[in-house]
Amino acid sequence: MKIQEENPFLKLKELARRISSHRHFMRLIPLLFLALLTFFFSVMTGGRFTSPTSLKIIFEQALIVGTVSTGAAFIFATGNVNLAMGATTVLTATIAGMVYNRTGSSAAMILAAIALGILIMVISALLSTVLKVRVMFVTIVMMTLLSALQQSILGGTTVSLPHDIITKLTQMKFSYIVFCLYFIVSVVLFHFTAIGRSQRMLGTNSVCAEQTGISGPKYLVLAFFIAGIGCGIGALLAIVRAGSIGANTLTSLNMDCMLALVLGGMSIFGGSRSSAYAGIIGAVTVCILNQGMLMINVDSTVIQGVRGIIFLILVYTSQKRPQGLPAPEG
Amino acid sequence: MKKLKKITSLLLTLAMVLSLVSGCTNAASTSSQGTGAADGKEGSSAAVPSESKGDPYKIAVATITEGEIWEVQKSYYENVVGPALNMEFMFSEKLADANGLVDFMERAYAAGCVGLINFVTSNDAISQGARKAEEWGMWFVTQNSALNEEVADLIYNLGHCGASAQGMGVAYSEAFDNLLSDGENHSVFIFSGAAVGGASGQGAASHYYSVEGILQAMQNKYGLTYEKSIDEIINNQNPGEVATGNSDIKIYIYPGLDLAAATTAAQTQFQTGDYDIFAAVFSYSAFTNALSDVEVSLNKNIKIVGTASIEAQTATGFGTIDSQDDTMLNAAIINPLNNANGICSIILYNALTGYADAMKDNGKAVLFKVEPWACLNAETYTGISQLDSSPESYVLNADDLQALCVENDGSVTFQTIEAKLEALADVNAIIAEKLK
Repeated sequence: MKIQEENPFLKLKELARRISSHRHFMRLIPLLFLALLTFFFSVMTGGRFTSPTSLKIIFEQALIVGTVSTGAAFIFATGNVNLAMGATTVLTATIAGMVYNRTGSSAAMILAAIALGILIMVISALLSTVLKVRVMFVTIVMMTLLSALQQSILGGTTVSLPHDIITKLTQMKFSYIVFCLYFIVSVVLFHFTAIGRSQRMLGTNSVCAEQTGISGPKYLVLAFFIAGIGCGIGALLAIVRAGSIGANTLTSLNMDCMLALVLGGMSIFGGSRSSAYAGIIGAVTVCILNQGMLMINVDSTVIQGVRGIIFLILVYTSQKRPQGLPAPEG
Repeated sequence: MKKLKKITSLLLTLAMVLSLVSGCTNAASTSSQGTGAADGKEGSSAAVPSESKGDPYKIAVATITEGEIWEVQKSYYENVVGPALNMEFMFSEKLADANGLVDFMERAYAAGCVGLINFVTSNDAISQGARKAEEWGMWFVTQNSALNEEVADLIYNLGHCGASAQGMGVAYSEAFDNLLSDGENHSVFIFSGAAVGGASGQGAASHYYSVEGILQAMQNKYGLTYEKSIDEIINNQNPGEVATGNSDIKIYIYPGLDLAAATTAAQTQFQTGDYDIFAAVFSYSAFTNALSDVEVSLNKNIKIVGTASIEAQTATGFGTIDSQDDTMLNAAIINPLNNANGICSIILYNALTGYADAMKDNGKAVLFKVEPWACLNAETYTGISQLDSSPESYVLNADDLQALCVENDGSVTFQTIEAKLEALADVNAIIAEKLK
């Protein structure tokens, strides 16, 4: 026994166990990985990777996915999955672009985007709560419906905004401002108010939550409402970034958001280990990987494979395994 | 169970490290291969080894395809263009829209690329990409059949290079003249792709002119009197039969890019026994199995004409004998993709060496047209398939590329390049020259 206690290897093992079982450890893994990746690519590119231009590009590329997935975190936290985030954002962007082209007013475009994002998401939530159908099934139907609607609105054309307005919004740093505002409000709501706590509680154990007086349907609608604002802002960022919306715009947004959330350390079961910042951390991780590998001349076909493997490792290491009785959180 | 997880985790980590290392090695070997080709393999007196010219120009290539067609083009960039023009290429993954293009451009810019060859052809992608390039001072050239006038005056937009839309029409007309020359009555099913609106810039111009070429060839051969103008016929968005004024000659047009629906429609129409020629201005390969089944069930020869490139699939089409003892593919309009790749690279090189003005028409971006080749039989394709397969047989090899550099020949302008492309229209002459 004494020998075991003095064995430095065993001591180290015990220390590692204590660290890994610390409640904040799992939350730190994505951040550590992010730092490690940045360091690795910086060394490999002789510092070019961490140049201000390069970092600015990474952040700008992560903004759309980061914004939409920040909103999606509220839904994820309740233990539900929304598969229509991408379709909502793209349809919203299409209609908001058309509103600008009709009115010539950027204020009208912004209002239309946010209002429409909220409207679509709240309808989805109400369909689920009123009809008592699981969120995932409702959102699968909504995804198909919204995509079809966008296709019929667009036909074979694209909605393009005048270059002047795009330049103006870019120069105003519109994307940064709206993202920061939304992100700060989301983090505060999620981590420092009863709204976030209740939603996480619902994800941890909905039966317990309801028995303590937390209304599942009410907080689900609220989660969709906040996520709807995210979709509206994401739509505006997409318009400002590409200047046009077509049938092929952001087709992988939904999967990108889910991936970003998981890579950012969000539990796939929602609950107490959820966080509002997981989306942006995951989105930045994906962008760092893409840019870093391109900068060190990894072949584009190899990039896809490497990315897949890294995602698998991250998901494996960041998801807590069930150690006790089965519960939604695991 | 715990051990198994640990082992899995270790294996995945190992795989990741190996992938990263193999990726880096891949890139390193690519550049060393390139230098080797310039030094010796090409055997070109004009080709200048990259070391003597300093660091290579880093060029980004934003692609919209993958698979064999893309690999052939990638190999041309890496093994012929790179060593000849002191260029190093960075290829994108398969892109779909303006957003994907801008994402890739940003990464390429951060990685130090000074020029970009863009394959994303939607007008909004070209506009957005050209403006981004202008902002950063990155030379920008697009592979497209029509010029985007909106950004044609930008300094860093060097123009477009792509299959000549009118040339496609001429090639299809030639292919049909040949098919109809047997004195029999023939009826045709046309898969017209994005031909609707092609002449006005809404659809694909090359598809529009291809269908026009077919309709004109049919009209000239059989003296057909169409009820509507050819333009109206092509711009009809609904699939259906064209009134030809001759009950023995039928023409059915299926517009759109939905291959599955078009295949079903083709199979249904051919089952009636009325049609015996299938023409696809977009992609014919998806239809071959369905048409073979009809051939067998009706014991009738169906001739296939389609747009193709130099690749194994085309060789299979011309090399396969169908149930009627005929080749599966009877004629193909070959788009010589590497001609456009070579010309895009040359335009970029001339701009990078300080001669951008020579590549423009009074400061405006130019549309360079690559003439397609009408391949009317398997023998001709055998010759075509040997092009672009070795340093000597490339249609635009290192010597040809060097000859179009303004720094080597001060008289080279955009008109010289246009003349060179026109000279590359005669595939038989090229085969005779390159494979002698």
